[in-house]
Amino acid sequence: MLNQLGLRFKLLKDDRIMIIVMTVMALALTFIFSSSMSGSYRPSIMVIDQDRTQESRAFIKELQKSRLLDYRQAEEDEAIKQIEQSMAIAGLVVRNGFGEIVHEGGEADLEIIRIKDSVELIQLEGNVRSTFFQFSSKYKTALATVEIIKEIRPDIDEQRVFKETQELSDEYWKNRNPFKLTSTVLSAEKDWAYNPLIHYLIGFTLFFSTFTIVFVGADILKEKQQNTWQRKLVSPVKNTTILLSLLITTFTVGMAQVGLIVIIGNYFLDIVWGMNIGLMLVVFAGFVYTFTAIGLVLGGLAKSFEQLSAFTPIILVASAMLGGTMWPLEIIQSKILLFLANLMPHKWALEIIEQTAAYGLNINNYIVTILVLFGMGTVYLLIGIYLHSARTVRQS
Amino acid sequence: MLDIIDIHKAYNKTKAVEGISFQVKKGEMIGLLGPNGAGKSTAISMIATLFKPDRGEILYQGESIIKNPKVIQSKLGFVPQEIALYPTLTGMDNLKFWGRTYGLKGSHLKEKINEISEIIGIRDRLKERVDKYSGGMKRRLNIGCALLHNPEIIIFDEPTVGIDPQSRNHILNAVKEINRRGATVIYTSHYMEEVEFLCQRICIMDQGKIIASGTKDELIGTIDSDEKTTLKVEGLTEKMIEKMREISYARNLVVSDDSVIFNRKGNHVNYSEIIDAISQEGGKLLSMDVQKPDLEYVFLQLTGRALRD
Repeated sequence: MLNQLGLRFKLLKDDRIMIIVMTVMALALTFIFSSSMSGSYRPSIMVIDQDRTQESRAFIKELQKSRLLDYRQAEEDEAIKQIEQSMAIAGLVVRNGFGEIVHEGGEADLEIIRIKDSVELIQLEGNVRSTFFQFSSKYKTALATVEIIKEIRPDIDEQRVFKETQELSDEYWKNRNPFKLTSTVLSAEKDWAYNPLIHYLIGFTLFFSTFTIVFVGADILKEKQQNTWQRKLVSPVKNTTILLSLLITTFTVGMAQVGLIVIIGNYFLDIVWGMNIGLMLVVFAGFVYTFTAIGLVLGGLAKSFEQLSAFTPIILVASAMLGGTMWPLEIIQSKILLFLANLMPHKWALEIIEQTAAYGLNINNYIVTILVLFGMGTVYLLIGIYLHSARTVRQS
Repeated sequence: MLDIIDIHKAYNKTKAVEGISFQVKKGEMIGLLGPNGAGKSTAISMIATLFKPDRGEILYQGESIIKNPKVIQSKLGFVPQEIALYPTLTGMDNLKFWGRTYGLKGSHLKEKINEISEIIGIRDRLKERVDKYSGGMKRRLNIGCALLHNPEIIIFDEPTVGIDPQSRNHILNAVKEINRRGATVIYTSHYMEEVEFLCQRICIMDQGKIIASGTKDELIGTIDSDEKTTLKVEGLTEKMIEKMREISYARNLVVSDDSVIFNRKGNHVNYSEIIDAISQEGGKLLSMDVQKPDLEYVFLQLTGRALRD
């Protein structure tokens, strides 16, 4: 085995240009996206203020402080037009009586107008909820403060005390983060909140890694073409050892590439992946394992390396598209496409990372994803072994 | 040592090997001679365990290698027709890899590499990448990789295809030396002179079958072994030709310009009657060329086709 592995790693130098290009491409696109989108891309939300009270205006002002979403106030007709033309992803209606509810306490009557569901709407709901919670807390704190001081000094300037208490509350929120849970949602700079950028970054990482994995795995075809494969088959080395050495090398290269992108992204491009790196690498390991096995299947179906080079990009791009690496699956309506997405390893890897980002780590979902990825990989692996293991070597 | 019993192999509907049987004795060098497509490579690929026959049996020391390929794999050296090397690695790396594949390691591997690289004559080029080698050197290294583990049986599948005469001679001498050291050799070729030079026993194959087998003399003995005689005559006349046609051992006589060509029937005849016929008619014999039958001729007689058709 060590001899076979040693050979495979030695032969990697033949694939070095392809490995470097694919890694650099993923990193370059990651860098371009992170520098062009990070901080500047904020989905637009149209805000319709039906209440038109001091409280509703203050709440909208509070929303507009968001670093994640771009809240724009407009009249109802204009707002709907913007949403219909996809200039904004949703609308937020602050209904009549909002000010009263804030003052009296109770559930605020807010409505979200949408054309279709998207991942950004989860972010919107979370952002509105937390902003309202913060706003009403500050509001009530200021009201209570005014009441208490008024009992001691009835001649106070209520407006001034109210305003100063709110400002003090603001400072308190900023500097002390009194509610850790809320601050996690609010401070978008380092703590994680859903960001579509991450979707594309993971997508690119997965997409480019598939090329490296499949083409390194396709060395089996090079071996067949240079007849060393046949020579190995008549040697005392077991077929499983020959295949296993190839799989281990391919998996190692795939993991090294993905790991490098994740680590460089995390430490040098300041990308927040949204999941503990260790857990994420396990997800990627499942993905790389699956594609290592898919590479084995493709290598078994192709008659030559040239033939593989011709059809592999089509398969990899198509599977990446179906798997949602190029765009979020939330925008897909077709049931057939959504069904096909379930057969793509990309979908599972992307989904768990995004789910974790939106709702926190759900260990059950995480385990299911890992099982699906490794299960999928094992099925492909068995097919690949079947295609390669027959001692009858295809005649040229 | 090795018994090949009625093996068959077909690809789709094309029968590549149709019921061939032969035995290989320990220490002998046996040749499979036949034109391209005769089924030689398919036959030896089955002996090398590369694929299984559809029918038949192959026994090594009495054990079936079809049921258990491992019984022969570590004892076998296989030199495929195509170069089977890693072109981007050095000659040394290739030898090391194939040596380790057969379980050699450490100083023993080093010794074997030195010994084999000496035999195949590439010792001073071992540190170079294989893709920088000439065709002949690649062929020699291809052979070397199969010899490292001192195999009991070595199968050579047309090892001299497409190389220069110097490398070819080197390879043929190396094969002879390997056999002299005790290895059993199965050698396939469509070059009659190679098989004649190397092999004690020859199987002639055509269209998936062995059509004749034996030593060279036995094979020639199986056919009507006429000698082809060509005479160059000055002053050739019709009467002279007529007299020659009447001579009983001169068969199939044809005339071309100043040459007379005929097949000489029988081994114990001299040419006195021919010489008399020429001189009596005033002619002068300028030259006489007698061509003895060879394996090429045997193949022609057996199949009606030349070996390299």
